[in-house]
Amino acid sequence: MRAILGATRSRPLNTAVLIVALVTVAMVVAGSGAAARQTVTLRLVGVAAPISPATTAVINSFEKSHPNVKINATYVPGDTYTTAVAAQIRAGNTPDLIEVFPGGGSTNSVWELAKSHVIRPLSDQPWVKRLPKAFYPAAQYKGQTYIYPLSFSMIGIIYNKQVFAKYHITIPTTYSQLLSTCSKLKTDGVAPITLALATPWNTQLVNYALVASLVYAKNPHFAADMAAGKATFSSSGWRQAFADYLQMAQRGCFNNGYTGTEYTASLRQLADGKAAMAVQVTESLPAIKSDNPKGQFAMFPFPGVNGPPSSIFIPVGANDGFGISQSTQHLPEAEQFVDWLNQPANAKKFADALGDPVIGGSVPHLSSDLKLMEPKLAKNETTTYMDQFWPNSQLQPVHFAVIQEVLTHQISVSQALKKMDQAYHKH
Amino acid sequence: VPWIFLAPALLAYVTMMIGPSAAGAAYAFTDWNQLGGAVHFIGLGNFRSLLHDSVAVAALEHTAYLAIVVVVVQNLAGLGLALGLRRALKSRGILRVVFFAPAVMSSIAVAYIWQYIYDPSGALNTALGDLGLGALNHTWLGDPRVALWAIAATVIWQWTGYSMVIYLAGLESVPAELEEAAVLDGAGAIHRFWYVTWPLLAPATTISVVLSSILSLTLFDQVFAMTSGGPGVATQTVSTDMYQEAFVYGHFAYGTALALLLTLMVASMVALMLMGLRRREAAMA
Repeated sequence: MRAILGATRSRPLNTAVLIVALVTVAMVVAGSGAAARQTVTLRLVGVAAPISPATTAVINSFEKSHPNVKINATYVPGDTYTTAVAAQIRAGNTPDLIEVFPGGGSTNSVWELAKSHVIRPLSDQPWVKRLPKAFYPAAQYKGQTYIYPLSFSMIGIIYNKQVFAKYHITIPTTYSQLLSTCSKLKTDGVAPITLALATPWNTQLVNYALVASLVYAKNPHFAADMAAGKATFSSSGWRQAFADYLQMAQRGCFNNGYTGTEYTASLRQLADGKAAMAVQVTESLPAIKSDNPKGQFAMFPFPGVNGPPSSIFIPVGANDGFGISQSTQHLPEAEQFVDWLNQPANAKKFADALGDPVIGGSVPHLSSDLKLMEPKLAKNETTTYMDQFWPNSQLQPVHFAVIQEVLTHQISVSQALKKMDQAYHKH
Repeated sequence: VPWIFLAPALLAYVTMMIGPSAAGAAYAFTDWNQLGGAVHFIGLGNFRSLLHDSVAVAALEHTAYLAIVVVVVQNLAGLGLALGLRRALKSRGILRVVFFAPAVMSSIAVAYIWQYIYDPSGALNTALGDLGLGALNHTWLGDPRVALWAIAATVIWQWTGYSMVIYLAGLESVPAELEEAAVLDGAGAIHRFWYVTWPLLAPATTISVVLSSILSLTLFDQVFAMTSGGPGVATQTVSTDMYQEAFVYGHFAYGTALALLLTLMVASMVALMLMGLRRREAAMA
């Protein structure tokens, strides 16, 4: 009876305890479920067009397959990208994910950001073993891997097929033929090559295309020789490259007013048929096609020397990859994004949106516009973009400036090379 | 008691402006070059390097040229417009708005508009060609001999209206009876301007000259957007060089040294100008 009474007396209490327990369990379960579904937002900083459409495309795909991760992307134009990223880093506001330039030569490159401990080594990630050895220098610093360059680009001559057909022009395969092609097109009233000398990064493309054959085809170890102090710009084929660049200008290869022409205006000249050719990177092809969807454009190797086809080399460069900040508060999600992006299918999606070949395998399958470049890749007649192995971030802007100075007759080729040698040794 | 009322604003100014600026200036005496590297005190090392930096020296020269040309032309043009629009013209209200409008536009937007105008196949060369002046066609921003002056023209175009408004305000304070008395005394237009209007415009002149000097000595937006300091370094100013050193090359300490030099240069020049102009105001009062 006591027990019954006791039981009777304690029933409301038990019920209350039960309710509290059930509510608590429900809250814990609901809470853990909410935690599992809680959205983590990663901040990403990347380069604006022409790269940002590709980045946006892969971010959208990633967010669809990973609903618990949101990526808040900010895009900055290429010319001010390093500035914007450096300012965020200095302010202690480093984004979780940073689009990082391969190799060295910039404050936003793998070498500089790794040296400054801004990005974290990712050597233990599964995608590292898929990275071809040829791209190790672009992705690594002191033996640690920091990025996976998703695609690569090439420098060559993009030409307007309709203009070539109209004036019965054949593709030049030697430097002399290129000069003759310039003369013929000029006589026909078409700008042979459109050059955007007013856009700093465009100034370097002709020089890189020349130097690939004049310097690196003859000495593939030129970058290492420079680093060891065995070679200089002044005493190498760079001198001939500057002389040829100047000669092309003097022979009327470039459009009228090329010293004041901007990048977008230059691409439009090629798209509209006012110019026949442009020495450009592969990423410029989509923009040209967009300017003239009915036009037909393709790229061929820049004939930098007079010699057999095997003496013509093309500059090839690993493109940017995404690094993870040392200070990220969401490391698992950031690693998840980078791992997902570096899967072959997703990397291809990124490369396709960019219009570039994807890294991986032996010789990549190139689009029809780039078919003439394929033999160079197959025969390994390529050299890496020169600035990716330059030792500091000062040399490349100096290179831009001295090209402008030489082509506007402010300084001589020797003075330009001396300035570059001085910049090479600065820290 | 007045200090108590002043204290909140003063505190905010010191913590938000003076403190960060002083802390930033201190980096000019260090070797701070890496994003996360150690910082060491190196005294005047960065300032000594400045003396041997040909780009910095060229930037100083370009800044000085720009300052002189912009201040002189902008103020003369602004004064001319103010005098012209002071007359009883039917359209003077509209014209005042038209001339002042560029001053309210973003400098970057103005720079891009003028970059388009200066393009080799842009509006300026096209207009010259249409007027039969094709021989004057030029690569305005691509020729190192004219690029700096093309930028100066853009700055003058944008800010002349600003000076005009300052001078118009000054002209409003010139008593009409003084001018009428001068007319009765037989003074011509030039004499009336020189002996009556110009002395009374001294305060407006001080404001306009000082403001245009600060603006032209610290010029960055237009140069950066139109030429990035090129071709080569032909249009590099102290501000663009400072930006390039700090943010492109990663030489933060050296860039800060340039910034400190620019600040001192602007402050001392403005102080000298103010002294001279205030003395002139007192003499003409």
